[in-house]
Amino acid sequence: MSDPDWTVLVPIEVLEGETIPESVVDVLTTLPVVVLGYHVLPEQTPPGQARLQFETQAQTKLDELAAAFRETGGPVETRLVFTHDEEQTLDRVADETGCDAILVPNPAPEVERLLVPLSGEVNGSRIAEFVAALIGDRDIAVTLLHVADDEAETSAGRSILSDAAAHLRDSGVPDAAITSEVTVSQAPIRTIATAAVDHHAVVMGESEPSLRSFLFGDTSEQVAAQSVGPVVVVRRERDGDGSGET
Amino acid sequence: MVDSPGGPAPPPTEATNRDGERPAVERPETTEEVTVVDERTELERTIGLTGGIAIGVGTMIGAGIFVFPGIAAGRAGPAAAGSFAIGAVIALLVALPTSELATAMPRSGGGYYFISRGMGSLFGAVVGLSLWFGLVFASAFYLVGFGFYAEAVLVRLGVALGGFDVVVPLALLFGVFLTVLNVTGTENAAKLQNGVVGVLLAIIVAFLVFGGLSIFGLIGEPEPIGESFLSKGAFSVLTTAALVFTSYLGFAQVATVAGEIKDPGRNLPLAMVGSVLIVGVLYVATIFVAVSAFGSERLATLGETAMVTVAESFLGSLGAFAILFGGLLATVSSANASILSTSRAIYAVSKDALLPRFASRINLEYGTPHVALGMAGGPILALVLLGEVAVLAEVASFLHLVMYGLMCIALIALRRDEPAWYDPDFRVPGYPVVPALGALASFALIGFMQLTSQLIGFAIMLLSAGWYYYYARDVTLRGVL
Repeated sequence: MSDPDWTVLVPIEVLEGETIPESVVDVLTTLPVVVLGYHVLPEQTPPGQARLQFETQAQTKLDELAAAFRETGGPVETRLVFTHDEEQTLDRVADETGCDAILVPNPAPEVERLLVPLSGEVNGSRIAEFVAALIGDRDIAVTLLHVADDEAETSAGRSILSDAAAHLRDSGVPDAAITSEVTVSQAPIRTIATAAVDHHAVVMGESEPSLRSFLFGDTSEQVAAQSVGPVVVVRRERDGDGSGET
Repeated sequence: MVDSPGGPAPPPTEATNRDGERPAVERPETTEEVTVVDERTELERTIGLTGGIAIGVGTMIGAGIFVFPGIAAGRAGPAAAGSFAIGAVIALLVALPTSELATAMPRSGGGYYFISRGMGSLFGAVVGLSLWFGLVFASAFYLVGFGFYAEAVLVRLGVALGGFDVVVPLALLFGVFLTVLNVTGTENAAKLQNGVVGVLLAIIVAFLVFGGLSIFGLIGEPEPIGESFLSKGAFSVLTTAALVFTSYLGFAQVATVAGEIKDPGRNLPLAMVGSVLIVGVLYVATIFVAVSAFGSERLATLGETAMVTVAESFLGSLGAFAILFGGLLATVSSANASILSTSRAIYAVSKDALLPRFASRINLEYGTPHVALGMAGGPILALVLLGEVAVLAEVASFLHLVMYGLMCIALIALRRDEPAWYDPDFRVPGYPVVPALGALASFALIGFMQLTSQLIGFAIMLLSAGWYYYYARDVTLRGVL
C-alpha cells in the first residue's frame, strides 16, 4: 500500500518572518518533508542580487526551521529559492522533489481530529492513503465530509465517503476513528471552513490544474483563513515522473 | 556546464578592489527554469519568450518610430528608410553573436559579462561602466522624446504654455516619477509591459495599413512628391544610420536579463534576433510610408513629433490621437526598460567588485535595488537637462556599439581557444564572417557620428579605464564563472 512515500512540501517565505508552529511540525512527524525557503522579489530586482545580500540570513533561518523537523525524526530536505514567481517556484520544487502534498501552515494546539473534505472531483483513494500515512499509528480521529449541492446528490456523496473510509480501514486506521458526514449546502467552502473550526487540521485534494489557484485562490484562502489549524493540500497525480514512484 | 572541480578556479585571494571586496563567485548550474548557484541556492528563471521579446521590442520601439522619423528624413531625405535598414543589418550581425554568447553564459549583465569573461577585467570594466552611462544616455534620450510628446498633447488640448519650453521640465518630472516608482513599486509590471508592446504594435500596424492605402491613392488626397531617393547624398545616409542606431539598442537589454530567462538556450536567441527583425521591418516600413506621404522636407520641419501630423493626414484627429497616445506609451516604456537595465548593469559590475558592493544593496522595505536605481536616475536627470536629442542618442549608440564590437571580438577569441566551460546551445551561423562583420560594422558606424558625441563617448571610456586602474586593477575576471 505504501507505494508513494508521501513527501510533504512545506513552503516558507523565509525572510518574511514566517515560521512553522511546533504543532504543525507534530502533524507531519510521520512523513518526510521538504522545507522550501523562498523569497519573492519585485521584478526590478534580479534574484541573484537578492541572493548576494540575503543568502546567509535566509540559509540560517531555513536550517533552524529544518532542525525542528529533524528533531522529531522524519527525513528533511531543504531548498532555498529566490524568485519573481511564487507559483512557478512552488510547482517546480514540488515536482522536482516528488512531493505529493503541500502544507499551508497555521498553528494548531494539538492534533487529535482531522477534517477531510471530499468532493466528487478529487481522487478520494489517493487522499485516503495520504491521510493514513499521515496518521501512522497515532490516535487521531478523522472526519470525512462531503458537501452535496442538494438532497438528490447525498447518496452519491455517501458512496464517495464509504469508499474513502474503506481505504482508510485497509490502510490501518481503526474504524472507530472514522466519522462520515454528508451535508447539503450551496456554499461548500463556508461549510468546510465552519466544520474545520472543530478540527485541528484539514487535508484537502487539489481541485484545479494549477497549484496556485488552490493555494491562493478563493477555496483555500477561505478554508485556511477560517480554520484554526494547518491545511495540507494533496496534489493531483502528475503525469510522468512528477509524483514520485508508482 | 562544467562547474565541478575541473571547472574554473576561484580567483586568487589577493584579487580585491580598494574596498577589499572580491567578485561574488556563483559557480552557476543552469537548467530550464532555474540557476543553482554554489550547488545550493536556487535562482528561479521566470521570463518566457514573450516576456523576452517584449523587453527587446519595448525598449526599442519608442525611438525609431515615434521620435526619429522627422529628424532622420531631414538628414537623409527619402533614403532615411535606408539608414534604418543599415541599422537593422548591423543590429542583426551583432544579435547573432550575442545570442551565442548569451546561451553559453546565460547570466545577468549581458554584454559586460561576456566581455569580462572572454577578454578580461580591463575590457570588462570599460564596457561595464560605459554600458551604465550608455544606458543613462539612452534613458535620457527616451525621456526627452517623452517630453516632446507630452508637450504636443498639451498643445493639442489647448493648454496655454505661455511661450515656455515645457519639454525638458516634463521629461524631468517623468524621470523622477519613473525612478521613484521603480524604487517603491512592487506591483508586477511585466504583464503590463507585454500589454503595452501589444498595443504599440497594433497602433503601428494600423498606421502602416492606412498609410499604405493613402500613398497608393486609395484613401485621402495624396500629394505627389517627386524627390530623388538619395536627395541628400549617400554619406548622409550613413551619418543618419549612426544617429538612429539608438533605435536598435534594446536587443542587448534582453541579454542583461539572461539570468532570468526560462530555457535560455532556446528563448535568448529567439527573443534577441526576433525583436530586431520585428522592429527593423516596422521602422523601415514606417519611414517609407511617412516619407512617401509627406516628403522628407516637410517631415523634417515637423521635428520629433512628425508622426502625429502624418497620421492626422491619414485618419484625421483619430490618427493624431492614436500616435500621440502611442508616442507617450512607447517613450515611457523605452525609458522605463532602460532605467531597469541600467540598474542591472550597475549590479553586474558591482557584483564583480568593479564598483563598491554597496551599489548592489537592496532596500529592505521594498526589496528593490534602490542604490543602483539612484545611480541610474541621478545622471539621467542631469542629462535630460541637456535636452539635446541627437547628442544623447549618439552617445548612447556610441557606448553600446563599442560593447557590440567587443562582444563580436570576444566571441572570436573564445572560439579560437575554446575553454572547457564554453558550450553554447546556439552557435552563430557563418562563423567567422558574421562576428567579424559585426565588429567591423559596429566600429565603423561610430566613425559617422558627430564629433561632440565621439568625444563624449571616448571620454567616458577613458574615465572607465581610469576608474578600473584606480579601484579594481587586481580583480581577475577572465574565465571566472
